[in-house]
Amino acid sequence: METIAANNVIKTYKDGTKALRGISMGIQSDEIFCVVGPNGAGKTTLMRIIGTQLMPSNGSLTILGIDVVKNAADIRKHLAVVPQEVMPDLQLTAEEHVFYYLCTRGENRVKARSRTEEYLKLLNMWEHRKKPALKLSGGLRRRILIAMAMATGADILLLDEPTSGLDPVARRETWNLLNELKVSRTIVLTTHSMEEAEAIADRVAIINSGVIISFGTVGQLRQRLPTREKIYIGNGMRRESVQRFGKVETYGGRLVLYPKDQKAIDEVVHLAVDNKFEISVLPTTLEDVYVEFVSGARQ
Amino acid sequence: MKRLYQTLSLAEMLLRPALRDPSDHIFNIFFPAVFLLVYWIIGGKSLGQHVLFGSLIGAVVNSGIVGLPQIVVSYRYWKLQDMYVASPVNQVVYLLGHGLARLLYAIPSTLVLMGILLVTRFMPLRAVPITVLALLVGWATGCAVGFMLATYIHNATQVGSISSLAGLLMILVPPVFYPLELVSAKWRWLALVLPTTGASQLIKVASGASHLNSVGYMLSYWGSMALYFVGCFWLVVRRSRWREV
Repeated sequence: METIAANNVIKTYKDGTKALRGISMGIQSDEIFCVVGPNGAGKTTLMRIIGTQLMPSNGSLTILGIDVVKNAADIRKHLAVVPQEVMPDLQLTAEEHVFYYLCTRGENRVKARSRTEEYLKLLNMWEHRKKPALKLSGGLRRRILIAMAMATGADILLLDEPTSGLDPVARRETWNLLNELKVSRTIVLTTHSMEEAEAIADRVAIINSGVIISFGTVGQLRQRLPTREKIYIGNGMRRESVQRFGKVETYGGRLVLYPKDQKAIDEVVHLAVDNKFEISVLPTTLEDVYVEFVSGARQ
Repeated sequence: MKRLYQTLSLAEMLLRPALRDPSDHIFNIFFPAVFLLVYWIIGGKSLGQHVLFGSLIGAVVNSGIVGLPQIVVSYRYWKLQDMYVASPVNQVVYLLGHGLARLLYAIPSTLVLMGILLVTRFMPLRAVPITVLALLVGWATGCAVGFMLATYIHNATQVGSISSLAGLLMILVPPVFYPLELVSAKWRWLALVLPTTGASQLIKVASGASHLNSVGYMLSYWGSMALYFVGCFWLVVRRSRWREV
């Protein structure tokens, strides 16, 4: 059985904004499911509906077979969320946040104490446990909130851009932790970082203007691109001279060519070497898939 | 029992900053002294005792009407409330936890004011149980009204002014800081519409500071408080925007 099953979920806000226009998908246990999409695509709306914080306008959504509209209270004991741009209470310490959040959810004090210690240590927050959030940096504040959600041991973790504001080391540590936590759990997260999605997601949904425009594993999504490689060409080469070899984009003044076939790669490499341009051939990434689908959808 | 444990845990968490930095309590304790001074100068000793009763009601009821919306809206603004919504904490536990924290926060000033009333003999010892009961019902009603306000105020910058205005309407306008007897008989029903009048009259009658103690009056005191409490609590449970639509 799918842990989360959405069937034609629609959300129209009171001002008429259509945030979701019919989302259907299934999310399994033991997986990290990543929702990516441009700003305003509907990611947070979808997360808030799954998190029982927001009512859908239409369609059905079940979590562990329970309807989110009719029986939200039965679902909530299985959930823990980290909302987008959430702020800790600046006057509470890191330890107080995690400990009291667990107690308020109904965990006994002994267990809450030990889980608080365990997760603050896992997130490298133990040395900061007695400091009020006011005295911590943005990244450390973010880690408090991640620790609060993770320490609950909830079956379903909903993390809306959980690693935004974290430094690269802390991000990687959080990814590793999420990977360990996914056993017998479902983790749904949104991100703008394709590197993050590629690193930890078992499956990805690309959402744009309230609809899913592509869905699958990172490998499956990459296969939907017409090419497996992309070629970065150094400054100086004119766009017109490589256009015949495939689709050309310009990123930060550099040309990026998505060659149409192997022969095109060979020819472009020769051309660049002959003209002494810097060139690098790299495999396509999830970011390329994302740009292809989102810009395609916009056109 | 689980709900009680959850409520107490939330209240304990919210009290932590106040325990670390008690400077706010000093302000709360001395704030009524300003009213006391002004009223005493204008109205003399008899009005002064009403200011003490009013301050007592104000400290407790305002903890719900003014204090509660501010912290609830802050938690919503910081999106921390979302973490509680998507958890086994229901809106009643959340309301009571926040309300209880505000009540405990108001205890030092309440104790000081009750101490003054007892020492000055404006309040006899036998009036203490009814005073505590009236204050508790007043607190619960204030919390229900405050939580309702919090659920309907979207703009975090407006919460301070709207809840302060509501507190002003509930505490300073009705005969809480002054005797009900000063209100002409034909308009007293209007004063009794507000639950703070009922709470204040129950304490004043028990302390001998008001003689409007007929059965009809007593029923209206309890009735207005009960109606507000039940009505607002019902609205909190049924209508408050715990989950957005």
